[in-house]
Amino acid sequence: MEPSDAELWARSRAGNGDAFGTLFDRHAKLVYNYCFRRIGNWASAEDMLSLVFLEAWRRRDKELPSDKILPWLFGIATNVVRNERRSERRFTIALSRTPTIAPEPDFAGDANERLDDERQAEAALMLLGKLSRREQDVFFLSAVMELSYEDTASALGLPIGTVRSRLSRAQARLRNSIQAVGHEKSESPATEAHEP
Amino acid sequence: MTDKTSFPPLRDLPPGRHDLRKQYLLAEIARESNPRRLSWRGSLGPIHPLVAVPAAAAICVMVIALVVPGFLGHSGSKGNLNVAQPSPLTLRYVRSDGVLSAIPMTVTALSRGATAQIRVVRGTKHSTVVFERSGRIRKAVPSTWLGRSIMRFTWPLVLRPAAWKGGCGHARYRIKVLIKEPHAGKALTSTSFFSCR
Repeated sequence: MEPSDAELWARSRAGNGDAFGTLFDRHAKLVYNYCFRRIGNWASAEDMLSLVFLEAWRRRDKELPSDKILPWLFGIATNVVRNERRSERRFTIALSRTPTIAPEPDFAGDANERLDDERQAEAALMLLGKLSRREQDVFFLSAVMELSYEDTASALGLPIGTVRSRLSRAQARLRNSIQAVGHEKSESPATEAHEP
Repeated sequence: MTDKTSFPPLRDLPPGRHDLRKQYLLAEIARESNPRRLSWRGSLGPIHPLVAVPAAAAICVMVIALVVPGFLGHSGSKGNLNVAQPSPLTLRYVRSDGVLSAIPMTVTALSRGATAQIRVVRGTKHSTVVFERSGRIRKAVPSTWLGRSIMRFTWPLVLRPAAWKGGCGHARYRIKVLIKEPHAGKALTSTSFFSCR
């Protein structure tokens, strides 16, 4: 029988790297995709994935409820994304001054699909960029990654009521943005979150 | 999220990357954990500074002597022997007047006949390839690793940022190297981001 997250986390806390490796196997894909959806770049998402798990290891003193390992990892990922954006912003202006060169596929075998992903995510991120940072954090976890209100609250260290209200504000704002640009057919990210 | 989401579906890491990332992670946490396990100080009790400072200096000298051949007066063996396991990519950034002018680098492989594909990409969000070069890693270099004599193969070359597409400015760049070993598959290594100015 597979050990539960809680068992693996308990062993990790005792310094067992193999148990932590199993947690990595179990949750890397979701964390990787969450990072990608937040920033729209697969290569950076992979770097962030490493940062998230390294940071989780460094914080292994933390006691976690048995079913809250993944939300906690999402919470760390949210902070990693925020820090990455802070350093990236400084380079954006300089980057805009350099001549544009058509992107070429990178090394990965499915490079073309991944490039399409990045273009697709770029459009969504442009729309979601209209939300405040706090609204984005809630929206991405609850609506995009489909975490329950409770898990979103756990990941972000917020009361559930705050999650509900921020999500509601985010949805309203997105609805207005979509209407403003005449996209009633909703090609952009959903304006309705799931009901957990 | 409804089915009208415009985000792409969940994807796995590219082939081989999950294991590679896990391997790096485990190596890193093992490295971070080791100092905690070395509790020799606790068993010896507090060390007096008169003992600790010369001891630390002696350890530094020994480490430098291991890493730098000839540091303690002997010239070392012929053939530029390395004690440490070499990284697949070693490089340095040469700047003149604050501008990056050259990047001498060495790509190292384990077996003869390995090839390397070098790419310089610009940008973090939407990376663009600004330089590309492929070559065979054929220069044999005798090395020692864990007390055994082994042969490594290297490809020394110099990248000139001025020759990159669009020149080399304030943007963030990264060098990626894909090494294909004849019998050991592929390995992708990458530098951290750097800027030319």
